[in-house]
Amino acid sequence: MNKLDSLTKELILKYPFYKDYAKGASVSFFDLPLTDKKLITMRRNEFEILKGEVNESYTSGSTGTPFHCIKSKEEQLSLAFSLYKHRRKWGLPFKNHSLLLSNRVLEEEHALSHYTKQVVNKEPHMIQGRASALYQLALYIQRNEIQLKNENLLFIQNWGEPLSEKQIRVVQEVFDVPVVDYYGLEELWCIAFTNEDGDLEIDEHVHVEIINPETLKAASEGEYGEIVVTSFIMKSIPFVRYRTGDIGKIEENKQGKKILTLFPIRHSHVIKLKDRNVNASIFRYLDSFFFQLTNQGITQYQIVQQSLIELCFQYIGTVKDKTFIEKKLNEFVRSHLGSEMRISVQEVDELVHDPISGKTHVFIELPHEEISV
Amino acid sequence: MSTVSHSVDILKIIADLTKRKQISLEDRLVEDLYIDSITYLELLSFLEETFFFELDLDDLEPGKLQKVQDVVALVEQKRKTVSL
Repeated sequence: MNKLDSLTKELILKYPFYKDYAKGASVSFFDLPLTDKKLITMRRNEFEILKGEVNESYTSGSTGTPFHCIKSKEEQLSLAFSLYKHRRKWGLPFKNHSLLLSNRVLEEEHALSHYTKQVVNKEPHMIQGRASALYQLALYIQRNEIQLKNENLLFIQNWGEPLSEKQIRVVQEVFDVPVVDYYGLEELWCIAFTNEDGDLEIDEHVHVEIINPETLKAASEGEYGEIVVTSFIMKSIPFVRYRTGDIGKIEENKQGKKILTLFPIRHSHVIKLKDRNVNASIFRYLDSFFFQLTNQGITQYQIVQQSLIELCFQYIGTVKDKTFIEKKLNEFVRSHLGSEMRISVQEVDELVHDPISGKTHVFIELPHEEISV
Repeated sequence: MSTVSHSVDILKIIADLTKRKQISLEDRLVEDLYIDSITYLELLSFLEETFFFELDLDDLEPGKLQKVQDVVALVEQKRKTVSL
């Protein structure tokens, strides 16, 4: 029995959501329905099987739909082991030292100086961080003509943001080591990791499909569509035929490995301030707060920058106390952006969709022609 | 490679990872050797690479390997599967 059939059998036996799919004849994996954050949240008790202590986290992903993630110790270990093995392929030794870049205001001199000192003094084997943070650090080192004599450094690893060609080029030039990419979700971690040919190779612990997001039918090999993922590790909540909202395509390489290509992103979203830009991934620090808002009745949200000093939190659903959200966002902006901005909270019927991918991004940045106070 | 030499090699690997001079088969990985999750990952990876096998998801349950002798038993089991 192959892995997908075995998983299907297990789902039907154990999970109330999937029991309805047990028919007289055998059920194929592809008969199972597509799932997403909204469905799992609405019918959570039919998906969740808790065994012992779990680790909790929150994500709104890139679509502004808050989700409560849980992982058992066993799942965390399996997911971590999978990631560790990918890094080992890039030479990461046992007893290694790695440096993790924060995604707080990395444009500030003191933060950049701090991390540069860490690179020079601690000599990590690996530096990991979001693309924007890695890029800012590389530019800082380049600008200040700092000599890096770290012979331990083996590779730089991106996560959490799309990585552009320009960012790869600059980071590679400054650190003189490969830049590797990691595509995954907070819900189930690694989906694909850069292989020795520089391609995003799909992890052995997931199954990935590409569907046409309008018809929901399978896309042809090599055709772009929505990435749908199934995890063989996650059982506390099964992520089976789980829609990511991301666009990509799958092709097989000469060795028969599945390679994922993400739809090219022009740029990451930035919050434009009077004196600098800050990457909008900083709103990830509010994932837990946004999830709590779902208890009040919010199903999806979006933060729209309306001017250099105005942010509007737009949401679908209901909210009892808008001032509570305004206050939280004000505090956040002050502490994390070092700036004062006017915050408004607005209920809407529909959020703004990306004209190319159709995705609903968490943050809508200021168009270039509207930079004014 | 014989079972005896596997045991010796595994004891040496764990001693090295935990920076201890002496390890016994009865030592418990967490309670006696204070192996944390990162060291546990390193151990598993080292075993795969040293003894040329791949672990399954079932093998990774933390409670499965309580003592050093459990690690030896796992390696023996995996080596038998590889040689079949």
